[in-house]
Amino acid sequence: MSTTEIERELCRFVAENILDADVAVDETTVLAQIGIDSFSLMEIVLFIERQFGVTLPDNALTPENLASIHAIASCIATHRGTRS
Amino acid sequence: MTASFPSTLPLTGADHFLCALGRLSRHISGGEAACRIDIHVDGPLDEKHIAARFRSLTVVEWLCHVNVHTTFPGALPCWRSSGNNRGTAVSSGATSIHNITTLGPDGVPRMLGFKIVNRPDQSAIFTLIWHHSIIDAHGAEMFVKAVAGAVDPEPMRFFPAAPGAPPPLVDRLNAAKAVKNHMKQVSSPAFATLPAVSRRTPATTRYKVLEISGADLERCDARAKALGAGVRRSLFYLGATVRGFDSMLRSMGISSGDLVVPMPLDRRKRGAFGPVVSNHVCFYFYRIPKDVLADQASTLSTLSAQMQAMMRSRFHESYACFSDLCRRLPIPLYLWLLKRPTRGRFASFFFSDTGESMNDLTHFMGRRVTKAIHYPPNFFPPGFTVVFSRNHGVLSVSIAYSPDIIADECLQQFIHRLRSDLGICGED
Repeated sequence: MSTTEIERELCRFVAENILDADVAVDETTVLAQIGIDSFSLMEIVLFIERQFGVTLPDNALTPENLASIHAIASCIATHRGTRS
Repeated sequence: MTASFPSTLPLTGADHFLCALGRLSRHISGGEAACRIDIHVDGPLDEKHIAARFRSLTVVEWLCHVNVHTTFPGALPCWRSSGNNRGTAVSSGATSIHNITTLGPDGVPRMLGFKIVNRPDQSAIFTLIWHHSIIDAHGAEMFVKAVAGAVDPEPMRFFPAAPGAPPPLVDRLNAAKAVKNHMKQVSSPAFATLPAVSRRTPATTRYKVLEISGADLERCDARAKALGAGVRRSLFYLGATVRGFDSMLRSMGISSGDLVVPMPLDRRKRGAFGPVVSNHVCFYFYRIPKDVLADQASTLSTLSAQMQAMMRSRFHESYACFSDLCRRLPIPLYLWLLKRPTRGRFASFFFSDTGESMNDLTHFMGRRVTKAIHYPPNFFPPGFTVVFSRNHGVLSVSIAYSPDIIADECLQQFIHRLRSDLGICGED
């Protein structure tokens, strides 16, 4: 799965499960600015585990790595050992 | 601002739980557990102007005349606004912020009030006080933003949308069973907490607020980073609080033991301005074994492992289902069921982290906001609550405690350990 596809999947998960229907998100949106808090970020981390089979190690759960969908997708790619 | 408001609104599971908790606390402490938020601004505030703004929000009228109403046993309890004018919601003019109460002079609970303190240095504090059972901390923050005119009133949703169809009864019963098993596992064997107060002597609540900013806040962030907390900053704060509490218990001569702490989680969809009214939280219950309390990193990793296990098992969904199901129980029966496993002691202490959601309130009634501080309700037992909030470059730690239970030197022991674990040098 390419980084673009991962980003699309993450955007869909966040929009359907975490955000209010009126709030838009794309891969560059700063997640903190649309109300995504640490609990929501952990929900995303566990979604990544279920959906992509990638467990992000504790030292990867930094604010920088989880700042946007693009940053998260890059982090997943790093820990999967594949990049598009 | 005008809007149509419901004449009745079903209590959420969290409303019902907090009504039960409030009833127990009132019985023990003889007082209401009020919530408060202080907005500090850099210039004087006009009380008449704010009162007018307050009254222009018609939800205030609704909140001031609301009571719990149940039509018949087993029916869903509702908030019902009577429209019976009991007087103003505005409890302004008190000389001390500690004098504000959610009980009016007629002894009838008031759901909402505010107060202004204009200081000699030209700064001011706007204080909102509300009854814990009908608005949670994030709802109150949104209400403050509505008063401040910080958000366009149009997208502000005061009331929750009508709930969808509940899951099948079998699923709800399975969820209830999962929660019951979890609670049993968490609460037994007995955990360590504060001694009970005598019911003959009503317990008082005092507050101590620690404010961390500048270089101290940088040190605190560095400590969290060094421990690998990452985005799990709430757990870092909870870990420090847990170890501070353990240290305080030992200074009080109470033997060390496992600690149990519930942590509220906001169930609102993120990015929405609402709903303001009613509680929208569920709880995660952490049991921290006494053996890990000796080490800060072990405490943090234990909390993190428990949080992830609860998230993987979708515990928050089961808890929400369970608490919604329990709404059909009359409060005395619900309270009896809640009290039974632990003889009324739900937790070693209560904890919350309201996060950074007040950072976007930059101005209040034309004045620049310098900080916002939450003061939690203090439920008995155990009568010790800590809430963290972070905004405008200040991390605030509000500690609600009872001097009838905790002596000053023991509270200092808690603060000393907390500051040490947060990575801050020096004494408060």
